[in-house]
Amino acid sequence: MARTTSSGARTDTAVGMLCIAVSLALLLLPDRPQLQVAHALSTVIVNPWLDTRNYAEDVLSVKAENARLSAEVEALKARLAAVRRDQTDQDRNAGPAVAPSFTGPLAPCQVLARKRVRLASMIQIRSVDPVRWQPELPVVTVDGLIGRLHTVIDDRAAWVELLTAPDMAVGVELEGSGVVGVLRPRAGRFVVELVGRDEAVMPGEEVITSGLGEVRDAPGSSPFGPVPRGLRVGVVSQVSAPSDQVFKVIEISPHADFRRNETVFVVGAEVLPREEVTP
Amino acid sequence: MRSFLRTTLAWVLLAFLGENLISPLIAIRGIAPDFTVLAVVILAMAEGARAGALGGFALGLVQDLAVPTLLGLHALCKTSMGWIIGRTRGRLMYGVPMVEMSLILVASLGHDTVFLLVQSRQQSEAFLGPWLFEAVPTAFYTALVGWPLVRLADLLGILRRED
Repeated sequence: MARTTSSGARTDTAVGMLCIAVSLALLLLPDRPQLQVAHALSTVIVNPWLDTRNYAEDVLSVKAENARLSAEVEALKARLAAVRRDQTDQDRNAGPAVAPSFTGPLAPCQVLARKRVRLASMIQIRSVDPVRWQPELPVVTVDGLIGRLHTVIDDRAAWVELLTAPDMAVGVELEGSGVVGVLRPRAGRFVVELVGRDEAVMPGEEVITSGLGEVRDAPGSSPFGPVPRGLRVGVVSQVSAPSDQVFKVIEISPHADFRRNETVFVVGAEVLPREEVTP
Repeated sequence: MRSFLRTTLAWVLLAFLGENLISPLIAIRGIAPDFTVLAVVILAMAEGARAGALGGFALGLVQDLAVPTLLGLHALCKTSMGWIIGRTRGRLMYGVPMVEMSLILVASLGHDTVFLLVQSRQQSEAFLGPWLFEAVPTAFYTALVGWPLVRLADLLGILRRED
């Protein structure tokens, strides 16, 4: 019995010493062989376990990852739809009819009522936010210039004089040639006046606001009115140069529809800070 | 045979599940019980010096493969620990909490001390800091968590009386 115990103890010691010897041998290996041995042992001992563990973790995390990816896909779909909408709007030339370089404020307004009086054609508008109106501010639709601010009611509501009003006059520019003139309504038509008969103007030419002041402006005032340059107005439909006149007779077709509008934009009307809003 | 399988399953599960799953969950400021040390202690207490040394060597080697620059160091520490604890089997009074906790504490601290001594190449700056702020708290935490596990192993019949 004692011999068996002694033999078992010797075996235990031998196994212990063997393990310690192998450990020391591994520990004392030079760096490179040590790494090579570790790599070889890892391939056999650890990698299968790591692969299994990684696979299990992947399986466990795949559901959460799926949910995150689904959310990302939905967000991307929404962005794609928005981009497509923007593209469609651009293709239709939708959006306020201002030059792409225009950086001033635009106040979106709802058209409330239309009023027809003698020698005037106006619409009443109501701004979404309280705004600081200024006289003569231009008003545009998505198609083009429609008129100018005429009478302010309060910081939200105002009357707009349409281009069709008999005494309306707007400084315009023929975009292709750079020739400037004055747009006036004449018996249901729109004509550009004060363009010399020698100027080269062709039908189909785009007409924009010139940004120059009106001829009726007071002497000494700034030559630049509140209407900025570049607002789309219309397109030249007919051009003639009667022999008995100094100026060309240029007729244009306006882009804006004056009969029916739902939303217009006041160009240059700044939204009032909260403290300035009249209760 | 059944007992051997049960013991093997117990210490392997304790080492791998404890180290991979439980340890991160119960870590306090980065200090967690060393379940591999616990597994070798329980194996050595259950099966003796031979099994303790072999189990410690195998477990240490697996740990070493994660840090191959010190290949063999974990194996060396755990082999020695398993063998020594296996040799003390029968000389200690098991069932007494203080004895078992002290055994785990000394095993963990001894293991980490040897490990850090070799790793730090006996430079005091590289040894003392980790020893004081990692090895000692880990040893106490391991002893605290280890004692109920040793008792559980005893209840399950894994810790057999010495032949």
